Amino acid sequence: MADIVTILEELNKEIGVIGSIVVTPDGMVVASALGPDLDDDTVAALASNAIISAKKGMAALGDNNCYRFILTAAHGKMVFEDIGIAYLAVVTHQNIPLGQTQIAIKGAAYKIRHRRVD
Amino acid sequence: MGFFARWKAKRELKKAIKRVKKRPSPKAAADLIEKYISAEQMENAAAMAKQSLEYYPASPSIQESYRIYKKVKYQEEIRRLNLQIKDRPNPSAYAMLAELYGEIGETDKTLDLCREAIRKFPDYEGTYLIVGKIRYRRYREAGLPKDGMLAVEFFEKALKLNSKNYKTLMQLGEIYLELGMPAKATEKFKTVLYFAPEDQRAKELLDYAQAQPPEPDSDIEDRFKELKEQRDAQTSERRTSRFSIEELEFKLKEFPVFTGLYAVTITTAQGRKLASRIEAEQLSEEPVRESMAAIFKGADNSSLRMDIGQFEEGIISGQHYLVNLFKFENLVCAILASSQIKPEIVQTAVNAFIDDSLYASVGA
Repeated sequence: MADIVTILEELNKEIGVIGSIVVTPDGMVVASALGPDLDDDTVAALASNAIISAKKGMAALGDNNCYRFILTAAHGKMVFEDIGIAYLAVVTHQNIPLGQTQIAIKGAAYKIRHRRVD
Repeated sequence: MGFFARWKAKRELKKAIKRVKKRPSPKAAADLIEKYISAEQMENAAAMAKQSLEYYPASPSIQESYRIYKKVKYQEEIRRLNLQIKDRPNPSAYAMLAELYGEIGETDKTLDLCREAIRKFPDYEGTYLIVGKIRYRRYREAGLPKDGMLAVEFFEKALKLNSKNYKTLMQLGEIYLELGMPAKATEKFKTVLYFAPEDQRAKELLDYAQAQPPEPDSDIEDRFKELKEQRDAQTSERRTSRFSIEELEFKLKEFPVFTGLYAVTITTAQGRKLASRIEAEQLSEEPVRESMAAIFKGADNSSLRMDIGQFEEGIISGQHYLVNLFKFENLVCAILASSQIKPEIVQTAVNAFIDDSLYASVGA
């Protein structure tokens, strides 16, 4: 079965996807395919910041799970998908309709989660 | 388009114009934009879209109509330029395509293209100018020091390639004045006057710059940071929104009810309570508001530092809850619903709330 970076690189071929990374909630990079214009550590730190805030906010209401977080900003989007001990974070262009891309993101998350090390 | 189709499109267009005149609203304006497109009146569609975006910048209906307009208008040109870049890459094709993406509001694609163009054609001035303009526009919108720094950096790079560019010299001079750096501004205006000695505006700005006290010993980044702090302080001093708390409470009552809706809250960006509506007995207002404020703060901070701009919307799916958080002007609205509810249902309610309630008092 494909390694995580290969799965991320496949995901990056989807329309509108700029880069993707697998990061633990405390900001450790597991695997990355972000491309030359995005820095692994910066994206990991900021992804971690957003994920931790979301998890804490949800936990304060009694919900200990944050399966998905879609963040839309003025010039881009980020999607965080829970893959167990880490999150798949995907950076996309601002104006893409996420429908099709989200299916690909869920698919990539599934592949990473059920990846078998040969 | 055949005769009958044209006649039908015109009839629909007349009706849509009447509706906008009689009762202006985001939905009526969006409908009119689409009717202009159907009637192939693209200039009118563009004018209406631009005007509507000024009045209703956060309206989902207007944004969707504008997206349709852009798709129809520029699809062919974008396809042609992409083909040209693939077959015969040249800097002006890159610049034209980048400008086109900028025109339709896809600034991230513009920046991607410019990065690629700069790698391939580093001596082409136009690409640096496009990046400089985009960064400067973003700086004007959000005041982020990073955007300001990059605007200056790219304008200066463009000047190195063409030291006589009037617009760039003036633009940089004005930025340096805004930063409180009159010596640097003076240098730019003097260069303009060397090439255009009769330029009245350059003369006036040069006089103004020379009358300023000498600048403190700080670098550009520090100055941008100071301006950001001043801007933030002014923003927090200003009135929270154009709505009073009573109006917001009233508007919240209009939020469309659906099965599984638990709570709706409106706060300031700093998390201060403005209005709330709790529908579920098991929830109380304060924890909901505090949770939503914490999520917003983390998301806004991350998106700004990620260089993807200011937070607009966040959708979180948990085990028990679905959260939809969005920013409207300087308000942060949060909807808490059951996780069993499809996000599309919440989104429809949010869109209706923005168009029919929050924008209800703004006419086109």
